[in-house]
Amino acid sequence: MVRLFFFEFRKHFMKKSLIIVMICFSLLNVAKIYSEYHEKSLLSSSANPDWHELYWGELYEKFKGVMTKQKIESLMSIYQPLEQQTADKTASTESNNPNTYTGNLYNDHLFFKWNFVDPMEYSYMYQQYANDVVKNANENLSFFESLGNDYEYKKNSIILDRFQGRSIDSFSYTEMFQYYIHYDFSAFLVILICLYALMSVFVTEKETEMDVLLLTTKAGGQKTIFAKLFSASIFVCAVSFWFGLIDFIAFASSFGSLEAKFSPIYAIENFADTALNISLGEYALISLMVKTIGFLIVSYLFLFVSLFFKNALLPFIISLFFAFGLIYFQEAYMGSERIILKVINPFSLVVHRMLFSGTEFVNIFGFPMLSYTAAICFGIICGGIFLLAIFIFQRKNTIYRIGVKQRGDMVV
Amino acid sequence: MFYYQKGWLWVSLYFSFSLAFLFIFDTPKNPEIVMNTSDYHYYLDLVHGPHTEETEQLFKNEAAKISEAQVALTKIYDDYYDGHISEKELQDSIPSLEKIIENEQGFKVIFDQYMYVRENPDNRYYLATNGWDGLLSTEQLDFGLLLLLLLLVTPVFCAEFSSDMHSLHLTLRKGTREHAITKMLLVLLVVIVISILSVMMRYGFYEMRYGLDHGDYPLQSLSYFGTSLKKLSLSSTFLWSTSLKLFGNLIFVMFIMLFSVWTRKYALTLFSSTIIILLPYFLFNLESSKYFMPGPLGFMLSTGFFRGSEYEQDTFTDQMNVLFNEVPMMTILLLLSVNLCIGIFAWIVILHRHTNVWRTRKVRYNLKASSSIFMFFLLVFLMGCNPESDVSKEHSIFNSISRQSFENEFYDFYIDETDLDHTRPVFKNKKTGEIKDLIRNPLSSLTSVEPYIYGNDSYVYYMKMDYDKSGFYQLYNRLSLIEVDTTTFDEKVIYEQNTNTDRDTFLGLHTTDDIDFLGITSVFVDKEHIYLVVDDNQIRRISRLTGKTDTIIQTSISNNIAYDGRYIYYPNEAYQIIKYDTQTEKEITIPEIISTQFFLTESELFYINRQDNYSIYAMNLSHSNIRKVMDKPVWSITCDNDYIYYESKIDNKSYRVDKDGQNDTLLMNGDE
Repeated sequence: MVRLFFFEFRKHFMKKSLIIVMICFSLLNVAKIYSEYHEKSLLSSSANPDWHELYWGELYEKFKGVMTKQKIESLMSIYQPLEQQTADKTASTESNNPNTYTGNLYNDHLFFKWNFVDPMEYSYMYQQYANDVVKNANENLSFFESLGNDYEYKKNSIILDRFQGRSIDSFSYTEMFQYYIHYDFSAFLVILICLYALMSVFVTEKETEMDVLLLTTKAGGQKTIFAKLFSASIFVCAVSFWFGLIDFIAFASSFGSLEAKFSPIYAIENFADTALNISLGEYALISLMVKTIGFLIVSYLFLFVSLFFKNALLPFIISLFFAFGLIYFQEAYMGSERIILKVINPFSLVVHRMLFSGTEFVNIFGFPMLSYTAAICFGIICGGIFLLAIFIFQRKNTIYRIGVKQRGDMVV
Repeated sequence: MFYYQKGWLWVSLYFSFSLAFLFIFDTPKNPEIVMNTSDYHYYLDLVHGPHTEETEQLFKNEAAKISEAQVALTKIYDDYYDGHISEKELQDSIPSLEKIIENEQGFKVIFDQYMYVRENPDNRYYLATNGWDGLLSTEQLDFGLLLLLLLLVTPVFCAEFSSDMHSLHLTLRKGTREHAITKMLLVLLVVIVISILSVMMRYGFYEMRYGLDHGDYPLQSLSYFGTSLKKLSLSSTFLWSTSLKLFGNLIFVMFIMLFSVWTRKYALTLFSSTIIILLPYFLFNLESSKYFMPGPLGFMLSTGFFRGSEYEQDTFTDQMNVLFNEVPMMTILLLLSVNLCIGIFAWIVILHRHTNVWRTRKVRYNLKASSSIFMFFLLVFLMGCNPESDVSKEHSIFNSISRQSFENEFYDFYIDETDLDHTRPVFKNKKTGEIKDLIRNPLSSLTSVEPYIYGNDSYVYYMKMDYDKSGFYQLYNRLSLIEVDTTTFDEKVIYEQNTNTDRDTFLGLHTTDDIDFLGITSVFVDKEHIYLVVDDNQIRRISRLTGKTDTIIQTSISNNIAYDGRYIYYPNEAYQIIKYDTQTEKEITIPEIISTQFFLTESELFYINRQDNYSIYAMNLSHSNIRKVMDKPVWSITCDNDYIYYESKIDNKSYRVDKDGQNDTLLMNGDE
């Protein structure tokens, strides 16, 4: 069985063309991440030439770590005069002012505001926000109990539990994780690779009509299918992890920092309402795993489609069509509060930040289930159904199912 | 290609779906033109063509005339209701004034066009833009055509390789180059026909739906091409873009055939052909980048070649950010040459692959060479650049003037504005007097609630805006209308719209919903529709089932708008009250009522009688009897179940009076 697995893996996935594609796509992905940094980062040389040096030179060292009163006072002693001077837009606009950090007062103001004051203010105020959430959820418990609304009561008790004791004590550079979390292009590349690589898994033998011969061999039926599916799954996982690794390393090296890896995930403003109580480093790992589950489900769909055809033409087109359909609906309901429509789309596991960024629930027989848990469960069920369907619809020999008329393949 | 490979089926499916898609999903780029067609065309007929001294004068005169007519009309009605002029004088004056303002909405639309044309009158002309915009102002890749070409062209050579007929073909007299040339010519011919038919279908659709007149006007007449430096007319742009599209499609199929003979495998051919289009299409953040790349994608989209450079000012840094870089003519020519060379190269390679050893020495293409050329192409293309709600049958009365409050049997709902940074809907328990937030969701980050509510029986509705902060800036994300069942305080989304123009979507296949979400001042709903009141003088109706939006009421004055579950009541410029039937879509003017403001309750319509010194009157809704409630001039009125609240014209103070006009009481601050 192990030999069969290795054989299938080598046959379908150790192709030169596939390796070339992997190398090219990896390089392309790195280039894309590099361009993301240059287009979006506040500290990139193309956006603000002096900021990078100024930020990492001394100021970040001075303000990073636990936010103390002393640090805040020190920061405000720099920022408040700048704010006052630039408030009415009448300050000097000269660009080589020696009494400034960046050469220009307005630039100084924006530098401190965007890099230190705003993120520190958000971190500082988050504890208050979390306390308000806890207070409101607590109030809701008695409110919904009085109304006899059991579902809302349970929902609020989960929220209460998740938000209790939350705070962001330290200030750290979160920009790298901010853009890493919102980066999707590598997922598109993985989908394309899977689409190409998986097309041959069932089709190759049909093209050469070896599938009929295979059925007569000892390992030709279920065992071959199992080996094919297992090798395909391993391949998809490997590709997903490979690109996940590239993403992480490329982001870390482009942005030049992994400073926020121990900061809580809600240090990213878009994740203020998240139900997760983990660090950004842990989220990066979980995110990769959930993404991989998403890729696996989509891959099983591709494999299932290819089962019915003798060459790759139609399954490729149909799979591409399905993939775009799933992406379209995933995008349409990305920020939607119609949670169920997000949850039932297996593609929302691939682009899953909307599942994790808020605390949303799906009503499962009166019990509130967190949307990401429901999406993962539903995804696993979907994947299971595709796998089961592959086993059911695979070509079987007459010894295996005597009397069952064999199904004819669609020929294109 | 068409018979054995079921080509006819795919082609028919493509055209059927494309046409259906156009009919179902096409929305006009400027919906205001469609909503005010006759008014708009009245003015367009006067000004169409280039901007001249006369048109400038016409706009100035017309704007002045409309504004003067509105003032005069108000004055005449005021004079008439005050008894200064007779009815005959009123009837004599009104028709001429009403004629001036009858096309006012159309004037507003064309005035916007005037503002655009005036920026550069040399190459911007007045014309109805929706047709040309639909045809030209889009850079959406035709995914259907992409799939169709892949379906039709891939098997042309791959079918032979997969069945090993290729070697056999090479032994035939006409099985080598002639065979390949015939195939390629057939493919090119088919692609030309399909491309032209596809373009003609779009042309026919836009001609039929919006009209494509004045093709000789400059391209810059469309705001999409406003900054373009190319001196082209609309028709010639269409012809050029069609030619470029055709060229792009031809190069694309040459690529498919090249990959077919090269790789000899379906999967690799399909994959390679797909990525040379999709990767550059989704790779770049800057829209214009794909037009600077060699390859068929830019030409398949083609319209971007005619766009001008566009910049956006960063409001924080005052820097100009590039949105689109114009593609210079030399670059287009260079790209055309490069692509032509690639096409010729593909042609030669395909022929070479179809040469047997008797004709020429067999060239052995080893995998190494193939891989390196494949790598080259990849590097060139990839690395070269940077359910309906359960609304009760008994409908509660809605008055837009009291959009911030609603009461039902158990609760009083209102917008709490005591903390201006945190305005929110709250409710007061009538029994206990306890005040709580209506929105029970404790999570409120990146969300704001609009300052109005709508209530119907036990259901209360509020609107909220969610924001997205995936990048540096906070952006509008989604507008949602939420229904709260106040028996359980369960929430349900009954309507939502994607409002994010720059969101971090995966591929951007689903763009922003076409809705102007600004200016909404209140909302009310029934079983089938959602009604958005915009700027207090326009009502947009949205189907809850299909999401289709249309403007049902447009009035020139802002005042109260009321709804009782079937009829919408709104005022017109003559101080009359119009009753619009939402079921039959007909409207009638309520006779004998001349009012500056009204308020609808379940049994009576209270109004300020303009003809009787602004006194409060009431009309019974069942038998239209009118009674005088109070003989005192007032500015405004609102009601609740027991009282009428009014602001007196005598002392500008707030009072409360019973509905029968008794117990007139001055309200102290905080009483109401």
